[in-house]
Amino acid sequence: MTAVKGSAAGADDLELPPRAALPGANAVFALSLILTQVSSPHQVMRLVTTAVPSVVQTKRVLVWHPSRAGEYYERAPENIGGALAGLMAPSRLEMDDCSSWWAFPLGPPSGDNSIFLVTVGPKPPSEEETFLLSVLAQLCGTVIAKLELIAAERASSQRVAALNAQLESTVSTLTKIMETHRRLNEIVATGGEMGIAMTLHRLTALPVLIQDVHGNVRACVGEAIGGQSGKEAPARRRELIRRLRVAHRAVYHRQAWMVLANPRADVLGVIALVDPARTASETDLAALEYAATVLSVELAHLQSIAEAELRSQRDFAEELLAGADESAVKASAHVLGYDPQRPHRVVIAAGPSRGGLDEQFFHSVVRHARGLDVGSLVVARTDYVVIIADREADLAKLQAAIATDLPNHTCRLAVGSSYPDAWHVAASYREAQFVASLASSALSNPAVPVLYFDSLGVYRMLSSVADPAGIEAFMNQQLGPLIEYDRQHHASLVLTLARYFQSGCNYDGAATALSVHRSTLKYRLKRIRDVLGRDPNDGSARLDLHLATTVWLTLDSLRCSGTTNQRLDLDRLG
Amino acid sequence: MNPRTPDIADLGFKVGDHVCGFYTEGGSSLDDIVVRYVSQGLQSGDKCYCFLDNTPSPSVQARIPLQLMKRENTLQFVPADEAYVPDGSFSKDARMRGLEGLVQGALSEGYERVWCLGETSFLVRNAVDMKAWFAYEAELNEYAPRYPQLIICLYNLDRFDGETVMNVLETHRRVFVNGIVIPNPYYVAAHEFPGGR
Repeated sequence: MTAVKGSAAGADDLELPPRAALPGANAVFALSLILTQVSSPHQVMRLVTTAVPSVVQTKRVLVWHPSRAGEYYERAPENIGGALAGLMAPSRLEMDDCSSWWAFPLGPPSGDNSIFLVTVGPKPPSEEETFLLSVLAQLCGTVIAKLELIAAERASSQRVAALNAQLESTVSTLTKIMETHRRLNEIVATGGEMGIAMTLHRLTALPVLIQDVHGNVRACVGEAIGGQSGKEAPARRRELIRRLRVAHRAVYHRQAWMVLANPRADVLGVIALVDPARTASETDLAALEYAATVLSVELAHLQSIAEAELRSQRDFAEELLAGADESAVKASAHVLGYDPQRPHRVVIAAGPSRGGLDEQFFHSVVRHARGLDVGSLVVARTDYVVIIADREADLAKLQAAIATDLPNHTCRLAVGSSYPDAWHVAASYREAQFVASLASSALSNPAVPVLYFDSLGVYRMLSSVADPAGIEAFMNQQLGPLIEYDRQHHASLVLTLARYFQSGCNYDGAATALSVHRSTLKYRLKRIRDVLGRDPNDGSARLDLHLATTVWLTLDSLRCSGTTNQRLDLDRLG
Repeated sequence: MNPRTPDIADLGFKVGDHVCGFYTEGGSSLDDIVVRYVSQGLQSGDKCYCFLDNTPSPSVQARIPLQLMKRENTLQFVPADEAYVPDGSFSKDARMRGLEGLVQGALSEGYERVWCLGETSFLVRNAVDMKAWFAYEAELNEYAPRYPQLIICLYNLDRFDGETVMNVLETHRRVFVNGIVIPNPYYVAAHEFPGGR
């Protein structure tokens, strides 16, 4: 900003009156009035130093501090600084020129803070001028002190205002947080996951997502757009969960703020505030983090209920498979709210044989059995999964669904007969076990993915005969030498003969079923003829031997499955 | 001056006054002075002319009781450059004629008094000859009592130095300071002031 100098060019023709003739005292009084309106010490000194030549005869007016420069004063020359610092009253300064230098203190002496109005004139100021300059300098000191005080008060007021604003903000934040806690605490008792999501949405005005650990949506309120619309790859999801575990606070990921719901070491889920524009406030994030805590409690509660329910169902299923009687079954079913008086059958699902039950296979069976409404009672065994089916369902569809989940699509279902109530499940289970053992040995046909006990024909007849002693005697009579030969030589001539008959006496089919070469099969058949002393292809011998090998396979299957069959006495097989 | 026209008591202005006032950009505000002066003029039912660098902002105008205007143009804001330096330079006589014409026009329209307010920052912007300007200010002291009018000249203390301020004080009988009008002991009569009559 440029200040206008009163002595502008083009005024040579104007005759100024002698300044000494001006009513100096009035000038000081009038100037003092103006000084009440200035807004800064710099402005005070600028006006005064440029006004003084109008009041007294002087060439220049300066503002000096003995040892330093400031906003409205300069540092005095070094050779005069020491003398200036000691001045208490208007004094002449000894300078190296012919002018008259005079210093007038601004305000009372204040040591290091003393500032001086310095005039430079052709001659020393008169007594009257000294008085006027002293008054003016004192007035300047007073006005500057007042302005500095006002500035300090203003700064103090601003600090207080800032602190008040901060305090107000803190109180407001705490109030909001308390309100958040209150509302979430209230809703968790009645609203569950969806209630938590709704409450957080209302508190933040942002869409809310609750996901399981895999990224599947469990609850959603508001329009979740953009990055949250699709499920991300498992590896990236695992990395996100790892980051959230480490962070222990909201993390921004895929246009949303996310927090883990993990009450203990387990991760139960993730709650997200969808915020593409990143407008969420600290209060919003605090609400999200508290919602995660509340969600943790809710999910842990749900998990606990689910686990207890599963335990109860598993115990009940074991009870049924073990052959509990009608009264026991009815009592347990009543506790679980289960209807036992409807048709039941047991389905055994066997997957890839890897020396134990595969966890993925188990979960696949559970999911599809429930999804296709086959049955809710599912228990695991060492090598297979047992489904207690409480309604008729499309088991081929179940098999196909499970197989789709498996890497080699290998899944077989062995199905027991249907019984009118739950206390006959043990019988259906034994049948399913029998079918399962046939499926893996006797039939040796992986092309039959669903095998029903009801479709076994002669096998079913053999497995359910009331007195098996005669049948076993018949088998021993027909195959005795061959069984003895196998026992002594660790051979498998009985199995070879059985597969030969199953393949319709076809060399190629039998060799394939036995996984041997055609010449090996022919050799074994010759040995069989030698041991039995008759040709298996002869008319009556063929029928007897075929029937005997079928009995042998049935008994062998039952023995392999470890079943204690009520109708076939395995102990008698020797 | 019409002897029947009363003085305006509230702010201490008198009819025939030629008053100076000062403001700063960080302290006493030009807007506050304009609002108070014009409000007083409108309350008295008088014509008001404001010669300003800029028309006051809507928020400032909202503080003026415009509902008191007798007619649509009772209050007129005139750009300072248009009023003082219409041809790019300042002429004391031309300005005096222009001002007198405005005042006579207002009185002929039936207004009893005319309130004039002039803001002077245009002097810096247009590098006006200050001697000519203060000759004009000195002459206003003799012109002002001739009509039922009140004149206030406003100076920005951030733009003028102390010597100019002293000249302002020499050329105004009274000073508007801290919200009131008081006599100025440093005033120099126009016939004694260099360049005056």
